[in-house]
Amino acid sequence: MDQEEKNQLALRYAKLALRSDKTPQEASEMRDLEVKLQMSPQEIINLVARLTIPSSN
Amino acid sequence: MEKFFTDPAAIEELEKMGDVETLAIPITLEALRKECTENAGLKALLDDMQERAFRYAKAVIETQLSLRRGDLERESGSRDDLRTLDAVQRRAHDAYIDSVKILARNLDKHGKDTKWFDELCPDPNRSHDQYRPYFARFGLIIAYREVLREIKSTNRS
Repeated sequence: MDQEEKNQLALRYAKLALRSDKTPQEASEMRDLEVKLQMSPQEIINLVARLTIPSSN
Repeated sequence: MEKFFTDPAAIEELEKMGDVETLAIPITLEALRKECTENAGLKALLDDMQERAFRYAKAVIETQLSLRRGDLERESGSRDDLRTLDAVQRRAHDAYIDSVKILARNLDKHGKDTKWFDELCPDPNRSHDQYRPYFARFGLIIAYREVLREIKSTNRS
């Protein structure tokens, strides 16, 4: 899996994580994404943070 | 789009970025909750700010996903789509910034700590609009930390 694919999957994960009314299928998709990315939730959200959070400068 | 997504200096800083739990922000959500805990009105304003920070984070992620999928470049009417996404993100950002300002104003009225807001907008002579990236950073970090807290709590139960 290349980095861009990882980035997209991580963003998809965050999109699901930000839903307050997740269905069981969406929760299951999140777990599948963790396995596919071979990353912990913390690592995935850190990647999403790097992709989306603006600089403090 | 916000310029920080393409600014080389910003990208360099982001590459060095550490854990979202340790990134510096003027005040944590937990500390804000303590300030608001005894006042239902303040608590409602904080809940509103949190909800708007989440909506803003969703809009940012939706925009990033669409841009990365390449749909906007390939499909006809892509400029309209890009404008729509940009408008949605901007509206979500505006609503979130307003909610932060309203919360800070009301905390001040009740004699609570608002030094964090001065850190967010350090120069009173500058328009709050010039601090949009600062507000964005604050809101996204709050949203991501809360999401992680929820995931950890779900995994424990």
